Amino acid sequence: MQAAFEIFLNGITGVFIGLTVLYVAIKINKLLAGREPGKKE
Amino acid sequence: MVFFDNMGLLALTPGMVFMWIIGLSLIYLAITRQYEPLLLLPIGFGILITNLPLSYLMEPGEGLIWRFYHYGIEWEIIPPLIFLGLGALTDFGALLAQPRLIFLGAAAQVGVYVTFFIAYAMGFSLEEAATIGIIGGADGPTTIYLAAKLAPQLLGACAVAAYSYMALVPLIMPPIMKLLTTDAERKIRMKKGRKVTAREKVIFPLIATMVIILLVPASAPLIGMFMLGNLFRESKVVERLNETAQNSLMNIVTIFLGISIGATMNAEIFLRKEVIFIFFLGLFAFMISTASGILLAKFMNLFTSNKINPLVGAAGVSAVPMAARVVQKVGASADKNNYLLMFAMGPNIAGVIGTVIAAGIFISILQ
Amino acid sequence: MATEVLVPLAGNIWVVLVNVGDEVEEDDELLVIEALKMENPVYAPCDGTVTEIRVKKGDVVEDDDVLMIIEES
Repeated sequence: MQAAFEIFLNGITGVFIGLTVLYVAIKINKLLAGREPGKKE
Repeated sequence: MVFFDNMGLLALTPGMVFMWIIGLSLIYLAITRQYEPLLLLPIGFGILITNLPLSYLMEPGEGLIWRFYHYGIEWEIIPPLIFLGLGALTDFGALLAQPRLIFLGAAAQVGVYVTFFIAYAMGFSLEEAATIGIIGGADGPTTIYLAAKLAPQLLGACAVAAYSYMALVPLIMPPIMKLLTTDAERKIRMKKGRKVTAREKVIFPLIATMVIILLVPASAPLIGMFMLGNLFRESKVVERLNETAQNSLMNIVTIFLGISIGATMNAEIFLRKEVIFIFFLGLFAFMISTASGILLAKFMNLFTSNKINPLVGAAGVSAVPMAARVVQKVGASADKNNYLLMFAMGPNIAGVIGTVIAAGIFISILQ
Repeated sequence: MATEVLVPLAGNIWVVLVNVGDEVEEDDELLVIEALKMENPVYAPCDGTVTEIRVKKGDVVEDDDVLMIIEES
């Protein structure tokens, strides 16, 4: 039961950390490449 | 006469006949109701043919379908190739325009882990419980990939459960969606995201590959192929590869995938009471995933003025794009001028990535 | 007053159900946009007469493109 609970916690934490980092990556991508070349926002 | 002694008829068991009925029912549903026909039709045929005695199609080392299964699925080739095609078919635009919706795709993985926990408590091994839980991610190739690695004896049942429930998403999800949202919430119109540039779309598969594989290396085969397919699509310079990945190659591997999965379901393996539990737990996983996506959307609304329509959270259950279509339909039934389809695609695709990460975590801990 | 009917979601024009000169009532179906293999009807925002249609069957439309113009009655 202990092992299952640990996997449960690790899994949920891992999924949220993974997608949070992806969220940050998208935000950075937007800053770097989010504007059409030559156009101002 | 030797002919009569070698007849399959003499080796027939009642279990085999029962499996014929299951196989034929899947074929029937695929043809008449068009429930995931591209998969359930070959799976149904695989079930039928593997339960014809003495054919030795699944005989290790010599059977024809065993070879498809061994080199395609046990060697983990087919599910990543399907992901290559899915990547080429996927437009990440909706996700890039509204990145916060990514968290709804994460929330839907709660169903995976809750079901994992319950399955383990019911007496399944950790590996089996993980394979059952991942059904809640509503992603066929990931379920098959994980099952082949952790619990091959459950592969057939889990794959059929996953694909059947995906076909039944329009029946499973709406009652939960209506139960957990108010009429006013269903009418929320969301602000359109900004325009995403072509350059962002090219860069995204590259950074996503690096970020996810650096965090969860075990997800590399699926995420790597997924993002490569997407790079084919967004780079616009390899149209031939893009076209092949999403059409011909995808169709070819789908044939081998379907028949191999069906053929794993012989009467001895399939007709056990555990299989019934798998179907119940799989349905439960779908329901929890739907609910947790909606609830997180409602929770996020407490902190933002730019409201999210909580129905969109339900699309975190991947089942691309059926779950997003269901969101659109339920939303339109509350307000017919509300178009949620594109918003729902964000969590929908994030759900795929989330399920792959979840599978990667299971693999890295359990193997 | 002329009212523009905008594209609510990007996709292809599946079918246009009205012609220039038609009288429409609010919530009448004007055309259908196909997106992700799903048919999404677009409804009239007001009562009036269709004075201009800027799209035809098969056109690819982007968010907020103008589909047609209705002269409000």
